[in-house]
Amino acid sequence: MVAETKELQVPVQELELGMHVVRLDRDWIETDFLMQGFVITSIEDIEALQRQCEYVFVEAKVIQSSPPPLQTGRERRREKQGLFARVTRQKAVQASSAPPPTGRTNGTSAPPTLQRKIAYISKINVQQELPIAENTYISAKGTVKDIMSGIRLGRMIDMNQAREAVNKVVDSVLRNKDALVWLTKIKEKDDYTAEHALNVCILATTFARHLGHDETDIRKVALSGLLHDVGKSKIPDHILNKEGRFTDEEYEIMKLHTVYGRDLLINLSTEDRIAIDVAHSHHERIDGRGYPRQLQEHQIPYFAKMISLADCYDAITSNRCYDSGRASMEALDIIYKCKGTQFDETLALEFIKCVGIYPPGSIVQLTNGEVGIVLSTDENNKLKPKVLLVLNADKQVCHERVVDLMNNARDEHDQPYAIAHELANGSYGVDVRGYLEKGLVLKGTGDNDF
Amino acid sequence: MAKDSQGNRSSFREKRELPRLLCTPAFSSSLVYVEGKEFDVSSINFNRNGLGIFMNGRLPDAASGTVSFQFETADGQQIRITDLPFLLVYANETEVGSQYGLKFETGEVMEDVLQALREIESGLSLQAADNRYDL
Repeated sequence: MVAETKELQVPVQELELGMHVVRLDRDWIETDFLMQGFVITSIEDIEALQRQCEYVFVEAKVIQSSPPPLQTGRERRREKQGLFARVTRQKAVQASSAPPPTGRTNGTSAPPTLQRKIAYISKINVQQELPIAENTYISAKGTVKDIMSGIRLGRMIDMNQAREAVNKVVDSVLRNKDALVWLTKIKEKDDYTAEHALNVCILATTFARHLGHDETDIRKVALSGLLHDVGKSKIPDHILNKEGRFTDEEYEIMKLHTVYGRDLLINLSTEDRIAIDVAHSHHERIDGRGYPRQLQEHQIPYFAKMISLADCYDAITSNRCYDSGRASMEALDIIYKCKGTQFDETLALEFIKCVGIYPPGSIVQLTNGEVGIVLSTDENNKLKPKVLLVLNADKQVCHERVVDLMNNARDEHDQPYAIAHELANGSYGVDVRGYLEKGLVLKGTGDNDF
Repeated sequence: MAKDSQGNRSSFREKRELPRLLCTPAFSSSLVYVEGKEFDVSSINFNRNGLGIFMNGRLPDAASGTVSFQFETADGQQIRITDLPFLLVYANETEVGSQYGLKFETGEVMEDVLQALREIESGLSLQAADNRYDL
């Protein structure tokens, strides 16, 4: 049996006490509810919903029947004995579409503050926040570099400096959740370690805000994100910056950054101690196959589960000294497929919602081969954003124009525009930084980004 | 914006002729055989030409191997492809796990295997939700 958390549509006449309302049949802003998502605790709550809505969406656990059994070792060995590729077909014994083996387990963690989820609203729009965010990013990146180089020189971590950087990041994300996230998309391959620490801090902060954590917890998550890889400062440079494949020995040394991180942070004061657990446990996995301690799911700190998602997303999408980063969607595909094995299932799905499929600033290739930049996304149809077309089908610079996929825009062959796939930033020379510098206006991904 | 030394636009070229479709729950994990060892890996995305995989740990340093996987069609038919040769065309080994791109070597495989690959691709297209992650 597999239990999954799903949203169920419920008519307001059928609401009951204790139900967790996560969405309405209209925007929250059109109602007088102060919280975007709450547990029904009184008849008054039900009556208020009945006055303002026809139906709502509640969170529920859905039990599914068991998937078919895994292939046995004998079956696998028999397959291995074949010399040539072959295909076999058989009708499934059960006439269900139950999934084949994926080793999925039930994610049981939930945000500890689910009952008190806070819905944040951006206080200023993204264009106003962007210049402040740029200064924050540059200064925080400098702080991370100072911390890392200081450790190499035998200095203690200056926690006041780290906290100051984190507070600026958190303040920016609370003012507007998109501005700093856009800056995480601009990757410098030579600064990977410092940028990665900062990007994980920003993504984790944004994720904590999305989950509705209170500000105190958000600052703890942010600090944990900034320091999660601090142990890498103890890894020799020739391994850390190696171009090309690690040897097995080098790979094992790289894994030690989790233990080094714990050791470096071990003397932190009580309020910052969660950062020790995160540095030590952010590579643990839900299926118990992580490192360094192969912790079981219930033993992994909740914040470490959160940071591991931001860590994976940024690691996959970042430029390294040996390769360019992959598109956001590839990272999201991995997170989606590894939910329940590597990542907490509930958190993984929330992280994907938080990042979004085609967030503003994404480079996309359309089905006719043209290339564009996503400008804004409609909350109700995230696959049909507004796109600024910048390259024609031959990947040559074209007259820039905006097409709104929601309005069934058509190309010169009268075919409807649709997105084929997302491209990594820099693909075909399209770099979102260049357009931002030219004054491109991107709309945020929600809240009140007017 | 990035330009190469000749002033041309970036040398980036999309290498995939077809977009990769997200492997739905109907697509099994994959068994990869490299240098006589077997690895159970997550199947990430697929098209008839190749497969993206992700694993905890790393594959041996090899350029090729074989892969086996299965797919359940909407009408309940199990299509199982075994020992399909591949070339390792992409590797990104990170602390969070390793991502590989496998390009199927279909030059010498039987037509029924090619047909099965096309069927799986078509099946995945049909199963693909409007919203990629069904959220």
